[in-house]
Amino acid sequence: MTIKKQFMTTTTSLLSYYERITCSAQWLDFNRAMAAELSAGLPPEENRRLFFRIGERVAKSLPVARCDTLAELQAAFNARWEAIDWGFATLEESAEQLTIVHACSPMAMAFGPDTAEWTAGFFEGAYQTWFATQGSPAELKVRAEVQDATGGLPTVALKLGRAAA
Amino acid sequence: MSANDRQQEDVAGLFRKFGGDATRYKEFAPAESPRAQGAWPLVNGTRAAAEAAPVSVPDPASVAPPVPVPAAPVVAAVAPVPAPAAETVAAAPRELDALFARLAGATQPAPAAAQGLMSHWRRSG
Repeated sequence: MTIKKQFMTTTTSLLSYYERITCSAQWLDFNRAMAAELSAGLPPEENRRLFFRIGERVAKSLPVARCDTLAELQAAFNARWEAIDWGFATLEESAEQLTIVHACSPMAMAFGPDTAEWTAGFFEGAYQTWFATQGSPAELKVRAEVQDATGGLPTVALKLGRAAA
Repeated sequence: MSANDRQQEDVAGLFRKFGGDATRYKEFAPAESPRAQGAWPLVNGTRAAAEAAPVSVPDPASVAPPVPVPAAPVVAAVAPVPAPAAETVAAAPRELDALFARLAGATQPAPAAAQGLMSHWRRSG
């Protein structure tokens, strides 16, 4: 095993470990049962919209001050996430989009791995709301990336870019 | 027979049924207390006090860094420094503005207002 591969394995294990301990036992069974009911009762796209709206509400309840730079914005986001034990995000810009990688949130543990398709809506709603308050134009949308089914880092990857036509 | 007479007769009849003295009957009508209304604005549907002091919810869109306002000059001979206008601060070029503009593309028009992505979850009325 190369040093780089060993480092990635360790990083993945660490992130997985932190994700496992982020949801309290007090709420775990309740949340899993609620997720099962939501999955049984509504199609994934509706649940995704529901979680988008929840994300909007959470972001509005945790407003982020106006920032000048991307580094400031990332620090402001993470100050909010850290205050509620919701992990952290890294922001990286490229030519056509801004990548947001959110790690160590309790979402996957709280609602189960099978709900990743629609629980990602929470992060879309939260980041969309925060970017809008920073002056992001309406045509820029936050979209979660399709998760790697073969198993990768336990993170949620999102993109801020022009909405697909 | 007036309504008042009917009421007195009803009271007398009622007291006769259980052997009481109807002359000792007094209408219970507690006086309106402005103090109590203030303390319990929603009791008895009195919403005036509640409406007078609406709960303000902070709007994240309005969150902005505080604008420094210079202190008023103590000596009259010193010319007062004009406070920077809020528009000047808000319009200051930011790295983020350039990033958003680049991602959005300068020539692309904004899409028309959608019906609402979350329409399913909105309560009607």
